[in-house]
Amino acid sequence: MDITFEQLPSGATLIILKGRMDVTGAMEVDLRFAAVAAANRAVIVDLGGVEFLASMGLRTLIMGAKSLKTKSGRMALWRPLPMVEEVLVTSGTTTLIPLAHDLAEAERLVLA
Amino acid sequence: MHAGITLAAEFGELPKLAAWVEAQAASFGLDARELYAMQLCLEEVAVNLVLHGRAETGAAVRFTVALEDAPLRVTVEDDGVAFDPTLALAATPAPTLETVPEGGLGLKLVNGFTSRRDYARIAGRNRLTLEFR
Repeated sequence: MDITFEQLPSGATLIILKGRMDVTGAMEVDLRFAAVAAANRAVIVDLGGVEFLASMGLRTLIMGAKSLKTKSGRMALWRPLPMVEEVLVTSGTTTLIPLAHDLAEAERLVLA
Repeated sequence: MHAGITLAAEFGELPKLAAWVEAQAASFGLDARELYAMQLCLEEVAVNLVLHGRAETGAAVRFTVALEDAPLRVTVEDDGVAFDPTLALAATPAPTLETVPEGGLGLKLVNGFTSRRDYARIAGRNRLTLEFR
């Protein structure tokens, strides 16, 4: 599982995840994800390259959003594949972290 | 049609489980959604076993996964502590980011991605059957 970061011109931080976010994948990215979430105020998570997501990956996303919230930061999830979106909705994660299908909407959610 | 695999309840074994399900996809005629649902539910059940299956003084837990068609279902049998995941699926109030617990999402997914779930404790073993069609 790959994790990379980008600073967007809008001021938001983009976390780009790629691969299988199963137990193994979540463990690989967990520490770096938590560190970036802790160091920023507006975080967009690009899920477009995530082909599989299970509960340990959800935990990584939720713990990151939680730590952002404690310092009035915000997280949004961007462009998940259809099955990954179903996991986010079925688990109730989209009621905790908003979901956007285009980048402008994601930026509006985290920078508002 | 029938296929099976036996694994130790350890995180290091989980990639083998996912790969095994994928290897069965063609012969069981799984579409992409069924393959995803099956890998997802088996990972969630196995993660629970790794984290909670072992008794404090007990031996290492092993589990067997059997896949059948007509109806499409998997049966997971393990020698861990008695646990009925179908009871743990009872509805809980929607959490907020402040109150969300760290666990519990896995069984919610199992509930959402299966059409039927049956549990039995037989001769000191847990038997969980999940149907997908």
